Amino acid sequence: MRKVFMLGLLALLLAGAAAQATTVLYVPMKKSIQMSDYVLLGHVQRLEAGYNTEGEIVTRVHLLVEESLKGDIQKGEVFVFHARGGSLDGVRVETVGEARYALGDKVLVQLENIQGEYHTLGLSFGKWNVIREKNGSSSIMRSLFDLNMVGITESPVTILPLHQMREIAREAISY
Amino acid sequence: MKKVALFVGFFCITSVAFGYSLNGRKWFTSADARFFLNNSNGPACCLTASQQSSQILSGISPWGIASHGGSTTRSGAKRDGQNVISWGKLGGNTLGVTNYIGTDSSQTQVCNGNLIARFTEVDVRFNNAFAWQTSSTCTTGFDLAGVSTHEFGHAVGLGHSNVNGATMFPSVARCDFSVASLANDDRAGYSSIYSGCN
Repeated sequence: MRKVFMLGLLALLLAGAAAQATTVLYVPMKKSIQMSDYVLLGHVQRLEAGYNTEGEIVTRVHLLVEESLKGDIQKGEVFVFHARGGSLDGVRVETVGEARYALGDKVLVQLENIQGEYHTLGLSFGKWNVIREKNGSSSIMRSLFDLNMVGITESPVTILPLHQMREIAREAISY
Repeated sequence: MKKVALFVGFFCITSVAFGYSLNGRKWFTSADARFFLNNSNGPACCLTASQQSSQILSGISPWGIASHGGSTTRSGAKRDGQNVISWGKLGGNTLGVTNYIGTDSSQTQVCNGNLIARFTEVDVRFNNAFAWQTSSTCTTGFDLAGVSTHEFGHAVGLGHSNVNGATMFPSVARCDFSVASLANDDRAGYSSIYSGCN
């Protein structure tokens, strides 16, 4: 737990060094699962910049799926979703508040379909980093610092044990 | 490397000593900071097209360097030489997005001890799937002028503030129409990057 706290503190400090934002509506965990078409756990296998159907630069994130908490995706499949912004043809577009990815990252992503393209729900709101605790269990953690939150009705969840996320997902789907 | 250390150092000092924070970028001229509005594809509910336009544009004017340059048919977040404001589908819980399309880090200024690079293009998008409302009719909706003012604070180079009640504070309630007016902390943040530069 101490490791998680220290990592959380580090994430907050790093986020503070790049404070920027996009405005999103805060939605509680269960509701956010219901709003997601897919909730997937996996490793970032590949990142490639490209243009979306509107001609905007996006980064295609190839996720090697380890577990699907919501949606019909099997372990071992590669699911491709989009992150706004990226570098292509000498142009670098930075979408403030968007989640950042690195090859090999283990992440849990909540994905929604926006006009035929999958994006994380609320940019960095729907991207969680998976952290392994000393006791072998896993937690998930996200940074909301770059987001301007509207409509907060509870203390925003930024970290929770992975098993708890699985329970919330099960409840949300069966609701 | 020294420049980077200076920037990071001063940034941290600024963040701690005051409420506001900076994102290391600014407009060097007001001519660069003209924003063009594409008001087509606006939301069906609950503002008229005229209200949508006036509320978005009211978010620009508090930040002195930025201005409304006119209308445009361009949209989205693309490098096209124009700072574009447009409507789009941004997802289930995203109200507005600011995109830094161009920053020229070879051009810098030192403003009150902060090293700041030159913005060359910024696009802002608002979600047309949300119920943007007026203060007189608001029940569960959102203040377009307030969100616009916040987004344009980022578009002129400000980060978040830890002063509750400031426009750049990173949280606001539904039907809260107070953030469209700048607080002293917002003005101090703005002044720190647009005054005292060399």
